[in-house]
Amino acid sequence: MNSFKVFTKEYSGHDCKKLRSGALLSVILFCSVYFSEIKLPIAPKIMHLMAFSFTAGIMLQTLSSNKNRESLSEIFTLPFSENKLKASFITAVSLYVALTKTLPLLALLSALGTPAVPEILMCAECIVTACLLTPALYLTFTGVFSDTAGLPVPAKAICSVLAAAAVIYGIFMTDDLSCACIMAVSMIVSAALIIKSDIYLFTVQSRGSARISKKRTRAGIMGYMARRMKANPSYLTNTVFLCAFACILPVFFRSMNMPVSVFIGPGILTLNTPLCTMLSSDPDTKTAVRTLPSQASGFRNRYCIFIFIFNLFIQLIYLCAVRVISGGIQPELIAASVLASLQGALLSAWLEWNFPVHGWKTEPDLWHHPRKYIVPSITFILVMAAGTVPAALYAWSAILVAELVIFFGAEKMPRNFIVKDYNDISFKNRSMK
Amino acid sequence: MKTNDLLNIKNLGVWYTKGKPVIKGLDLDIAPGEITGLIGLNGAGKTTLIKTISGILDSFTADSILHDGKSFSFRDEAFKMSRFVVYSEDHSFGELTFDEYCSYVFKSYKKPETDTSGLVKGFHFEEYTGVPMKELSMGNRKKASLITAFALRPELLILDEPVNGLDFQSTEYLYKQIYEYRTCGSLLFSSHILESICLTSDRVIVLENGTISNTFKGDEITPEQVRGALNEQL
Repeated sequence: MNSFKVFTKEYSGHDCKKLRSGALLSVILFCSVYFSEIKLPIAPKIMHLMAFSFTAGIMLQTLSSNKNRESLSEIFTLPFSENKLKASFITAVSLYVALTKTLPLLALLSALGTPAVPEILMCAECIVTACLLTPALYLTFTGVFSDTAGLPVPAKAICSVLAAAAVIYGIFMTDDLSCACIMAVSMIVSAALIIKSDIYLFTVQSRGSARISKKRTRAGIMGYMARRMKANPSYLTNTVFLCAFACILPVFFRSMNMPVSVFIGPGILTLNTPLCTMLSSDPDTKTAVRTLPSQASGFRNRYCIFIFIFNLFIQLIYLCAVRVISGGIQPELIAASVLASLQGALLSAWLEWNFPVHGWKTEPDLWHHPRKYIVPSITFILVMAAGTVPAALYAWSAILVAELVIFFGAEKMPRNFIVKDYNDISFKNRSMK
Repeated sequence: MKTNDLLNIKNLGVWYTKGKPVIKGLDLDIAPGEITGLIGLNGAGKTTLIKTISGILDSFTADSILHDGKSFSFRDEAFKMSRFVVYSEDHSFGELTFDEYCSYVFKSYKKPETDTSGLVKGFHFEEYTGVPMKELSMGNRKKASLITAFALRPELLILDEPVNGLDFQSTEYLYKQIYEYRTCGSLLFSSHILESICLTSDRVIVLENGTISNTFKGDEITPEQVRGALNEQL
């Protein structure tokens, strides 16, 4: 088996199952939206920017994933040629990202906007550029900041930043032909930077300074979660992006000229994926929590409060933005925001406790699991109902009180089954992944 | 059915894929204050058995499962309160220091914290008590779990491959701790190391393809006997 096959199997599963599923999903998405005749004109430059930035974002998530580093450390010890290994690795990751993540998005946008063939080709070039530029930037900046790589090369950093800036400039400020040429140059620069970098930089983890506590300290699950957030830049970045999104959302809603549109915000702002997968993303802690006693109160309930605090903070930013942009704020919106924060936290903690995501290979797999849409969808429906019929707000409050009593009152393990008589062999097949 | 055993399992079958049992027809009983060693070749089912008892696996059947003579589920809170498990490899709660982890475990078991300084010294862990566990080596991470386990002193202590990753001094200290555990509870542990089993156990269970092929007690537990039983499997 050659190195490309090894990496393809690692990222795309046995027999490229994920690639085939991604392509199939894209076809289904395209056909269903295209034939439903829902049309939404999308400017070509926006499509190009989305293809580029989305691919680059997922590439970065995949490259910086902890699980990715662990598996790479093992594979890189094998005696493969370094440049072949780099090419295989980047091609395998690019295929995984492009076919399983970007293609479904592009299929949806293409069905909505029906772009011409040159625009689609341009999107394809944007994807390829992102697939080359992101590893080049990643390697360069890991080399600059890493204490183990010994490659503090400012020239490389300048080249990679200029290549990225040129692509953004090309997308926004030039015509398609010039942009295509700029991206081609950027790809050549990226390839050169990748070739000149040490492959082991893909496995380097930013260690920071080890925090050593001199005095004996007590445990706190909230503190533990806060530390995990601090230690994983993706968790914080996602939350910061959500805060920024909360700031600009009221601008879009104002342009929609529908009073109820402002209620969309609290619904969708509960989508903080890394925060809501803290147990799924740490399989050993998940096992420890399953093994230790008293974890419903010790872990699950505190986790719920932790998510609630973050949800509430983001909703507060949204409310402030609505106040500043619209000049006023409805009391119903304030109530709906608080309820959505609580509802989102309860559902997220419940889902994570009872149905954690198993079998993921890299963090992007986990963060793009369809489960992430369940909570925002439910809160969205509830918030919209509250925005349309004020009485729904009272009904929702009453349901939430009941949910809180059940959630915080239940002290038992997830998917527990009480067996009264073991002689009838009550344990049935429950597959564990 | 009442027994004097702390734990009594009859006809246990465990599988990951239905139709392909990893453990089949296994009867296990652990007496109070008994040190039971599990030994077997790779894939014999040692870790699977420990995971099942820990409540991690639920794809199993059993004719009866008794704790102190009463039917129970491996996931019952009461059973969980009575046992503690140290896994072969554990990277849980990596952001906590040993002190914090130990404190969290005691809090979970609703027990007052005890002095761990003797165990910390015995395992040569003094320098690492304030270091986040994600920064620790495999051996030191194992020491953190073992110190917590022996400090907690549950009724049943379950250790999966406790010797793995430990240095010579810590291994010797671990044998002493295992041997002395009979004064405070029962201990079930798995190991590949013949010495660890022979030096500490009251009973040795040899697993082969998910079933018990041999059991040795008291004076029968000699390296030659156990080695002979393992060689028969080859």
